[in-house]
Amino acid sequence: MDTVINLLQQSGLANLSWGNWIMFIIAGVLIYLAISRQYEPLLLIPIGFGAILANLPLGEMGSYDNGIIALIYNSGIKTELLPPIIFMGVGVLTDFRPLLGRPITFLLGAAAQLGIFAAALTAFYLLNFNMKEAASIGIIGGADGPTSIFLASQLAPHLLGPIAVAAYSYMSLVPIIQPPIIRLLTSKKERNIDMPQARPVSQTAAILFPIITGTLASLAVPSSAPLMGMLMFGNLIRECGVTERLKKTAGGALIDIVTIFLGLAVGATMDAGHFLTPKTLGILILGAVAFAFSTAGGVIFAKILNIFLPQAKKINPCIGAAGVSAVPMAARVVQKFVSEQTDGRVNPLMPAMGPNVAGVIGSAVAAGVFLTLLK
Amino acid sequence: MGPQNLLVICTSAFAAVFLLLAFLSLVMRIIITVFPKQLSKDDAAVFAAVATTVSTVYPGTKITRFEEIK
Repeated sequence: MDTVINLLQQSGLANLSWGNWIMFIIAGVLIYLAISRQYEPLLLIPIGFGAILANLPLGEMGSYDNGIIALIYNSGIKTELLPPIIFMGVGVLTDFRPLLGRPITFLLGAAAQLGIFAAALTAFYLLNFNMKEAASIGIIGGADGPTSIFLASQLAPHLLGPIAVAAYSYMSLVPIIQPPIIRLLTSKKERNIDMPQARPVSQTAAILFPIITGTLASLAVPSSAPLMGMLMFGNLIRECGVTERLKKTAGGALIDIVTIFLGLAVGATMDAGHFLTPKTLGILILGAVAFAFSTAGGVIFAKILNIFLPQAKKINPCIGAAGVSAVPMAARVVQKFVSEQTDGRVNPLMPAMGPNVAGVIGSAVAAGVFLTLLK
Repeated sequence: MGPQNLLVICTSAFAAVFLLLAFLSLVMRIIITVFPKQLSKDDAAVFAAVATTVSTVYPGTKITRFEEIK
């Protein structure tokens, strides 16, 4: 009998806390949203299940424990390895031609990083986060999961779980967050601006782009080299036309494998002790602030650019909202919004892809600057 | 670091992002100009489409040459 009692006492059930139960519910919500609403399922399923694993008492499956997930966390996230590999896959999967054909949209991608800094300042001055935490929270406004994980794992590893969840949750909520802000900041006349086709891009230019961008960005902000270098390497093997096998692996099996490890390890940082704190609530609020300011930054800057552009070259300011990254969802949201507002006459999907992919570069550079100045 | 420093850091970071992307924009503009996409002068599919359309509208017309005017 003593053995049975001892066995029961050693079971996870006997050691479950109310915090674990709450985390099970949160993990269940993430998994539900991923399956039923298709909200970033490739990430939210591993993150949700990782959160369940981390909250199994005595299971040693949390990222801060000593089990196999901790091994992935310590060797893959703490060392900065996994996010750059994801970025390599993103580079393979991203067509930068819409950006190259209309280089001015680089600026919209920069302006749409406004939310990063607005959220960081709000976190620091109003919610008493320290500088490193504030910067890690701010990067949620870059709407780029791997970049958020990359920066948070370096500056505020204890906040990695809530930051990753906020980043991916708000990315999937872009269709809800952005349209009201775009509507508020643009007039009907502006929404009706039909941009001409972008300049066609030669293969030579498409090949030179990753080489030059990767080199220049890494020279300017060395801390961004892991992200920018890998992103641009991925894009080079996409564009060069002679590395089909590498392209297929980096954009397929490899990014999938790394996504599984990254998602599980990030989810497993969400044990009750680390996640159920007032700071998590603050991070979720600040994530919304970051996305809203980033959207507004892109739109407002497009309007400012229009003051200086000739009539024939005016930009539909709605595409500025796509500068928040969240590729390609933000561009699709802009396309759908403008199309609905103009009864299908204006369809700026390709123009919106320019700032959309520029935003990936912008947020990676912003993360690099934060690392340089704060690490 | 004092409270005012994060403001300086954020301002510097935003400026750095802007400057770098503006510079990249300029460089890419130059690259696109130096290495323009060569439009195919004998695109068979386009030629066939134009020829078919014109011969439908103006039966008996023979297309000998077509060019793109920008």
